[in-house]
Amino acid sequence: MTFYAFSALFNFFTSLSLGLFVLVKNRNNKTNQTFSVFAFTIALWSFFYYLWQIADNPDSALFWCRMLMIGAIFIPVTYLHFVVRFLNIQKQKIFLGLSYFLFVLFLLFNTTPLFISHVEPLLGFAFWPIAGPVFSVFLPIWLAYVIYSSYLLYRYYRSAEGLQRLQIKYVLLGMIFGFAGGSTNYFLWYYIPIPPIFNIFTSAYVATVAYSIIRYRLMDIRIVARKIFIFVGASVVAYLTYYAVLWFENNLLGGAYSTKSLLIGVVLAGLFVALFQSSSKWIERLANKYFFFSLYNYQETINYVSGQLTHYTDLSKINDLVLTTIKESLGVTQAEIMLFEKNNLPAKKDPLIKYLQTNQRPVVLEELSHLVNDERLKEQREIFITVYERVKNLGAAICLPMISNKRLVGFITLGPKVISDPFTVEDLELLMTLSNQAAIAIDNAELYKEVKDFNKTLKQKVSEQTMNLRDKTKVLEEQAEHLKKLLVMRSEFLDIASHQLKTPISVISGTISMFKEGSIQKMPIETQNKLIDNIYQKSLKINQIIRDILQASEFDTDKFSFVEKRVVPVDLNKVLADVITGNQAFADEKKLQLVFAFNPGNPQINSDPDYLEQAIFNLVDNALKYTKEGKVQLSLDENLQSIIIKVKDTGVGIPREDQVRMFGKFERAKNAVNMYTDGSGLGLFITREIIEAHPGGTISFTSEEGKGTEFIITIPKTQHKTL
Amino acid sequence: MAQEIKQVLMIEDDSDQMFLYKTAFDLMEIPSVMANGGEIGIKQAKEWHPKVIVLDIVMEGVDGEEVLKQLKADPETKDIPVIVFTNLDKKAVKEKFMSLGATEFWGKTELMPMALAAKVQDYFDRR
Repeated sequence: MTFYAFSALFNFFTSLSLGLFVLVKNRNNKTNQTFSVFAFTIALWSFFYYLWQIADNPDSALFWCRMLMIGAIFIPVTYLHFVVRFLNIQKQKIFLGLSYFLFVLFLLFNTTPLFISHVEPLLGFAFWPIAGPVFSVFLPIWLAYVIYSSYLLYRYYRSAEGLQRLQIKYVLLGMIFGFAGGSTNYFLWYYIPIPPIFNIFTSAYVATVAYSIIRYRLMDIRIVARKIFIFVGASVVAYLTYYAVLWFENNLLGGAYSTKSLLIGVVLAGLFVALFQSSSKWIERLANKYFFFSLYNYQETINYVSGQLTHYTDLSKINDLVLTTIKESLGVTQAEIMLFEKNNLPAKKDPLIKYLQTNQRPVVLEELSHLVNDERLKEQREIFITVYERVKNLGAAICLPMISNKRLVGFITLGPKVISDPFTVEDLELLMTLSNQAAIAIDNAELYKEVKDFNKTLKQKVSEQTMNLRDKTKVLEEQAEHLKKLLVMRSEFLDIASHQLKTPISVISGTISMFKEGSIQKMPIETQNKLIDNIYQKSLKINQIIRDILQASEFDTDKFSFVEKRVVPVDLNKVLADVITGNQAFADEKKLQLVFAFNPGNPQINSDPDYLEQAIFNLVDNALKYTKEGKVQLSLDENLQSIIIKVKDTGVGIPREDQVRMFGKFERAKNAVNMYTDGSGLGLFITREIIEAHPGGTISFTSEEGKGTEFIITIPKTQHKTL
Repeated sequence: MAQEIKQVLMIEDDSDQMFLYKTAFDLMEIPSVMANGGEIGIKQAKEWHPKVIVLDIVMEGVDGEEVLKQLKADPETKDIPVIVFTNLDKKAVKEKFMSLGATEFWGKTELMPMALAAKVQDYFDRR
């Protein structure tokens, strides 16, 4: 086989493989389709080129030449078609259609000598074709299409960015080399003595396109390439093993079907299965290592990071680790993590976050721009545009969603790579793995932090509550103490009240029992009358005691206050005169003087007249009760601010030790208990409550045991009716 | 030593009650002396050596408790039975006076005047 025949066969296989490969990967993609068609035309050309090379007579050589030209004719137009699709150039449809039409015309000439006139021996080739007249028209057009298509690539290469720029670059380089190599065939057609030594360079485009596929996700078929490599590798191992064993059995064991061979075969079969597994793994590693060098490193990176991440519960450490790893392994200029607060996905309206949440895939700025161009639906296109703008504003080349439990916990933004390489598929895969692992770690760290915070709050709460409890205990103790006092007071009250009530009752029931029995009738009528009068007096006494107790219970709750509508301007002269009238009989009975001097100024205050009368009545009543001889004097004075009411007696006085507690409920001076045993002990308490219900109202007394007591009431004069 | 007379001494400071019980004793023909208050009561007990004493508790000046203590502390009067007759008829008060040496303890509302007189008569009849 000559070198040229080999180069043709080589070109045939490379182009056919690549064409099939690209088509299989994505049959529906227009770029893939047009590329495959382009590759197939080259394969077709190469195949007949090979047959032409091995032809042994001029007729068959000419026939194969015409056959190879079928492929060759369509190479430029399919090239253009591919370029138009690849660069996504619009408005080329009519031009493309016309171009196909043009080349079909040339195809028609291909069967005539106008295209290839004949074959003749040239420069070591036995049957070289010589150009006919139409061929001379065809060749410039052919070249023009190639140059135009390549120019399109170049033009787009100039304006393209990142990934696409690199994809275009490698495609263009491959095409230039390929067409340059392939075109070396044309010189001899015009007797120019340059042999097609660079024909094999036609496959250059296959190499560069394949490289671009692997490295720069051209037509996104790298993974398939890797699978095929592994498949082929494993097949080679199986094939070699089979023949090695066969050779061994045939030469040393007397044939494949000898008893020894069959027995050893059993052992070898087991061995093979065991070894094949590890060898296929080895091939896989090899594939990763050489086909996908970066992927190989990435796996180690991921292993390292996932190992480290499990140790961290500190958010900032996780962030540092992830960012450092990304920066180092990808060589990006900048990387940042943005986290959402738990249970608070911010700005659901933010198009980027919404997009990340929905797609849960990395957003690559460049790809977005393609998506914007490709998208036909206006709405979807607008979404892409807003997301694109957002990512661009963030200064990011990539936005990685961080997904844990299908929840978007945050995202990572990456700036462009330092060497301004685009991001490859395996870059993205690494990044997704990293970001998702980080997301899980962050989620866990947040949970951990929550638990920690919760513990902290709990501790704080507990200590607060303990403190509260202490305070409350103190309050409770105070309350208990207060309650104890109240209970003692209550018990004392009941003692006094029952004694006070029982005293008149005992007289009443005792007397009546004697009448009932009949013996009393023996007594003189005066005695009987005196006893009946006693009953009457004691029953009045009971009534008074009960009234006092009921009234005291009115003052029982908190602080007593007047009912507003009952507060009226009160003529004090009249109130005091009424008090005197009410007590006159009692004073006469005790042969005491009861004195009151009208105040000519007619002083008035706002008050509830009934309560006020009651308060002063109690004072006068007390004074009369505790005075054996002498007088009780009531006076009414006023100054600019206040009115002053005084009740002065010449009675027993209040012992010094009792003076401080005189106004308590059921408090009675010791001597009062003895002297006037049917007092309720409520009078002064009631009086004080009433007087103090006047704003600024006060009651005080001065007393000297054995000489008498003087109570002084002071009530500020109020302009307003309201108190 | 003064001669023991069959009579009752009532120590009480409320004139209405004194009148009531005096009437009752009179009806039963029981010789009675009314002492107005504790101070006078102690004095009369020593002087008259009554067969029995009826003692009120709540009184002006020297009260019933003080009177009982003094009577029991004095060998001249310590053997005279004392009926505490009061409206302060609380269990705790009763226990206190019984421990101080009172012979009986009655509430004024539970023991009617003629019944009191009958109890006093019992003391006369015993000896």
